[in-house]
Amino acid sequence: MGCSFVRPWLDLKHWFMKYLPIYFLLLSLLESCGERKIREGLIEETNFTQIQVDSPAASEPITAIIDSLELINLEDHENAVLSEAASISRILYFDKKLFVLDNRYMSIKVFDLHGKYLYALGDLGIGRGEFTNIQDIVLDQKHASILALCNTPSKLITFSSTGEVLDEKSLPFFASNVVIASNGDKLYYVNQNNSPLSQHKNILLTSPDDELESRLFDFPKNVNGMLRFTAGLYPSGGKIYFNPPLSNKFYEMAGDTAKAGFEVNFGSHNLPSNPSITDLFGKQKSYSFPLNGFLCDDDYVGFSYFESGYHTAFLNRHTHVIYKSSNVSDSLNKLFCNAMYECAGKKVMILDCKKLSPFIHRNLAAIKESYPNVHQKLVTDTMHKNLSLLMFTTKKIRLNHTIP
Amino acid sequence: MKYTVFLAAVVFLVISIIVYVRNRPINNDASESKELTSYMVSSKLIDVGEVKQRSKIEARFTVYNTGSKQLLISKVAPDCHCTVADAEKAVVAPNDSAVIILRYDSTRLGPFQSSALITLNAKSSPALIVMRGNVIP
Repeated sequence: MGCSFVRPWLDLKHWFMKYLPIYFLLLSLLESCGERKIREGLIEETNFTQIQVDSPAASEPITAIIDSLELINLEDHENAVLSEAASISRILYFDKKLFVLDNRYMSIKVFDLHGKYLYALGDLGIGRGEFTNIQDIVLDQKHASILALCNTPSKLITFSSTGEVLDEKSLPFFASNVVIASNGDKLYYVNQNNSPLSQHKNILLTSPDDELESRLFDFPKNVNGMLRFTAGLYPSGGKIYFNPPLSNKFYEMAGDTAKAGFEVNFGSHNLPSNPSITDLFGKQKSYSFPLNGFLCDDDYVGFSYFESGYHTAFLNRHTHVIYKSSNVSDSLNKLFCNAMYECAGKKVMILDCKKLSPFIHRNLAAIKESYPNVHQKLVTDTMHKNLSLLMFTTKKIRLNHTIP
Repeated sequence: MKYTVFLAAVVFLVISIIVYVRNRPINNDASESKELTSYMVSSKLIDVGEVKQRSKIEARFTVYNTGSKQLLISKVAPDCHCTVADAEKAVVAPNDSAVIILRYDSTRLGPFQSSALITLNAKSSPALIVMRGNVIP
């Protein structure tokens, strides 16, 4: 009786041992068919440029590098109202139009280059082409469309430049930024949550068929979800730059390799490595860090940062002189302290004329002397309530001359 | 031979279960199990304008039952901890209405926008309601 019970199981064991390698082979084949291999990206930390923001000797006002300046008052249309300068998190230029993303009012408003309101991309809601939480927009030059990254639920909406919904697909991760890689086919996402797919990685690179291809950058330790949103991806001058959360470095992204390009040094205001949440919030005013805005051309590297308020700075890449909005030698510097973007071959900053009204009135004479066309707009459009854009070019540097 | 058939069947069963569990549709819409009706919200977006800091900020949205069955408001979920949502009643008779109130904590200065999703026994559920304004000192 005992024998007849045990015997089949012994046979089974024998059978398993005999065919075990084939089982493993089949299982691994099944796994490889079901999931693509996700590569771990490379991070190179050598040969980057230091930007010494804390050096008072080398600091100049930003106004010293402004070549031309134009003020665009965004129309006061009831459907065109934007929330506040700090909540404008991306401005794109395409087809002679400006696409302005408002992270607080969750809207993408489209204006022409004179500030006239044209229409909005998408709307608040839960249907196709609608969103409750929009995080980022990116221009897909190759397909002449705008991609909108949304959360709750996580999805990517494709709009034509005229606002038609072309496509919508759900995303298996929660991202706060998206940019298109230089070759125009792959997407970089700033991932915010840990999932089996994304793991504890901050940057996700997806293939043209929307499969996750590579992961880079571990989430910083001790940093909660809200602070992780301080990370930023910035397309500039045909390249992609990534600033990890609470990091002073900007990495140039190429495929699944990130190469440190610039590091901002705030001296005694630098954040400690792996700061605790209590430390961050308790001593918030004593720390400085890059935030929301970066651009880089042949002559200058410009970036926005937090230092008891919002500021901007430019590095002259040839002389290494720093131009800061916080420099007090020119009062008009205060006009240039919001996040900056590239549009139509120019640099663009948001300006809240309503909030800065007392400052503007105190400095009208100085504005008239330095920027007569801006002065003209300010005095003729005194009732303007919506946000404005400062569109400017920076002085070209002639390399055969030494800049003092 | 019979063990081979038996084991092949077990392996097939296990793989089928794994594939089913991985790909099974996730149904979060509680309304599907109830009788569906239709509704209308008075306004998707209410702009409360400028309000003083620490003052009471609330927006009232009216949900009308435009169908022939009872409208069940099963959940009102705000998008942030700074907002509280209240539904006047959970069951709305045909041709009747209910008020849903969003209250915002006005301690933070500056523009704000807050929303909530209302889960109802209707085909176009959930419904989004949004309030916005500007907190001034």
